[in-house]
Amino acid sequence: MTKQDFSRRSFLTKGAAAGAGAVALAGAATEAGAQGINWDQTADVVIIGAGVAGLPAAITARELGASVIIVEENYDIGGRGMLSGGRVQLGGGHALQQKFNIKDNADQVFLDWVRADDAESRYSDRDLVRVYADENVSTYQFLLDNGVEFIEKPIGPVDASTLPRIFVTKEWHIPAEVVAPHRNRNGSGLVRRLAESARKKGAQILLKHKMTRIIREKPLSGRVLGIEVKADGKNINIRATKGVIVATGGHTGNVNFRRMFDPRLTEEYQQACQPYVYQNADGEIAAMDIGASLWATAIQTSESGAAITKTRHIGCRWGYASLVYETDSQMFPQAKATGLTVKDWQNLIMVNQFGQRFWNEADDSYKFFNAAMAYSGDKNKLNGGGPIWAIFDADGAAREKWNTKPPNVDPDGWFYSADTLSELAGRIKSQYQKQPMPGAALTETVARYNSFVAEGVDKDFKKKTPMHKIEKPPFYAAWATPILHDTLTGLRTNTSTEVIDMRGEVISNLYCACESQGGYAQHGLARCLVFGRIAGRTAAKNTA
Amino acid sequence: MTADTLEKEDTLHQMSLAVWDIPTPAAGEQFSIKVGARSSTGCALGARRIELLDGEAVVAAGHLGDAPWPGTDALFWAEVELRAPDKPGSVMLAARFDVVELDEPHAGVSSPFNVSVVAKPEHTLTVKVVADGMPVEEAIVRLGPTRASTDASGVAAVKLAKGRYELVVWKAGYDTPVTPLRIDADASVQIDARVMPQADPDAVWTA
Repeated sequence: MTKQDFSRRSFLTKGAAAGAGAVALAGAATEAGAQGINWDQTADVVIIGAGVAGLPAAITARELGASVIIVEENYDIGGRGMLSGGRVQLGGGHALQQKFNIKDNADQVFLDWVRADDAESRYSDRDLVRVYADENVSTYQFLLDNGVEFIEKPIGPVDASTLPRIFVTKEWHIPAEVVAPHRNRNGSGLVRRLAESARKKGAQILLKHKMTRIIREKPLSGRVLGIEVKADGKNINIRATKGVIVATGGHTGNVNFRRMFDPRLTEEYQQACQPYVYQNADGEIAAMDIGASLWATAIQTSESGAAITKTRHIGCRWGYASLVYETDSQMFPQAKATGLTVKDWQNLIMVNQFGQRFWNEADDSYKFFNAAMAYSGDKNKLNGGGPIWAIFDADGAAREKWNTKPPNVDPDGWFYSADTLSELAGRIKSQYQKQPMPGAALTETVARYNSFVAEGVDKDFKKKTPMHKIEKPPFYAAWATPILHDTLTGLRTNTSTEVIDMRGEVISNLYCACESQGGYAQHGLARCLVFGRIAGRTAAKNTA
Repeated sequence: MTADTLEKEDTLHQMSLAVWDIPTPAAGEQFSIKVGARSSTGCALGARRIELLDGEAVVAAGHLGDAPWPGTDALFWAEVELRAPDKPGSVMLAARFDVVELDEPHAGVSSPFNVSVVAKPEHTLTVKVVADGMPVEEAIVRLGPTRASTDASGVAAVKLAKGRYELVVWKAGYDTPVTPLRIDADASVQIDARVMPQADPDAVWTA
């Protein structure tokens, strides 16, 4: 053992002291076939990601007697679940559904989520959906057993469901521990309760530990042995005797990876829940490095569900749906503005980097996104549609009751104002606006739109009765580029969540659950919870 | 030149214009609009001349005031009167800033704007908008280029020439039918709007 190795273990021993005794240090044991790797820590089950799949996996594995380490790269637990609205779409006839006389069963859940007439369900792997359906009721009970509380009000049916299945979890009761307080981030109650339970049951959660590699006996064969992580500048090897669970949460934030499915998704598109989580595909990439395959990739580009969404809060860097970082949010110093929430798309137009309208602003469908991502005419950037800006005037701001000053807007790249449209165009500077917006083009675009308003007919894009001219100074430009949301495809697994390689063979001791798992693209928390439990159970019972 | 423009430093100061408060005049009617001009340097433009053009013909002119439009940095403005064309329809005019009188060299500029001219109204259409039996206030009622907002009792009155129209009612949160109408006398119509289901704040796109 080198001096450096010794120091590293001392550090880890202290770090582990607050966790459960169930986790043991492995000493300098060298695993056969692992090229002499020194293992710094060992657990039966090692989980990458303390989110909506990783936490139930940890609890389930602990309940079956396995020791558990979760590594989480963030400074706190929860992943995207922390910023979720907390809508859990579990059905099958669980107790709360029964309370509202909702007649549901596992077969109906299955039939709904393999519907051919719904693009959200038709591409799914039906073997996975069947297992999902069969585990809905038990997963709901699992959540109750682990302290999760629900608001007793059914919502739905939504998506492919034909029955009300959504119940919302209660927001975590300590605002300082809710990353985006005051904004109905009820998912905080889900992940905080699960983390609390996981810790009580002896799972060790190592925060700010970033997985850098999944270690397999040989690069593309043999069992998975553990993972390499980086923490505080040090590399640490963690042995997993029963298995490693990838619960990292998706690839949406990785430009290179997401463009495998759709080359249009270049760097200018925002990603939901940044900057708290980045969904950087590290789980997928680490698994693919050792041979893992992707699965059901059609879903990602099926133009259904919430793969891409419009910006709802404009004039700030991240304007995702119902999420707003208020000034007392931990994230506000990075987010820098709360944004201007659009209540009526009639109050603005949207233009591309050349000051041209491209579609009906009131449309929320994929037709809008396809137009926003269409070739903009930029000879230096053929893929992606470039930045999109919302343009409005003093009257529009008044109708929306917007205060166009910080902290509502971020003038450092995401919001501009000027006395005239021509002047406004010239002021727009952004890391994604590579050239000045031509003032004459923006002026012409607005004059044409105003003529549509006067006549009541949008001759270009059929916006239903365009209502308001954009004419009264001052004028505003607000960042409104679409947001990428759900990861809808990922690693191939079987119904036990074992990861499958490119030749259709199981990669022993490697499991996946979360948005990084391919095959089933239901939006939201439920599939992550269900398959997280299955992964924890499969790994804990592994005797390979 | 302002520090935060992308324009190159140039000997010519860049001018730009805005035109607003454009009504929907009846054919041949006198009406007024507001026109503002701004120099990229923000320099004072009071008393400078503004022209309105129909093609190459100057159809009206005015002089900018000494104070910028409220809420702007340096948009000097004027209210300019002009006469609507004698025929109904949409006409594209332009505002032009005359740079000759300025001490510093400025680039000349013109900016297009649209005016919709309607036939001289002869009749009044009274529209009442209700939802679930209750009046809907501040709904926009429009028939072609003519529009009005409903008052507290859900009523809006619009003056119209004889002809066929599509009555469109708009208010966020309401679904309303498009109603074809023929106007040949004063008339009243009631529009039943449907309240759209209140969206749950997390009804869409939550993680």
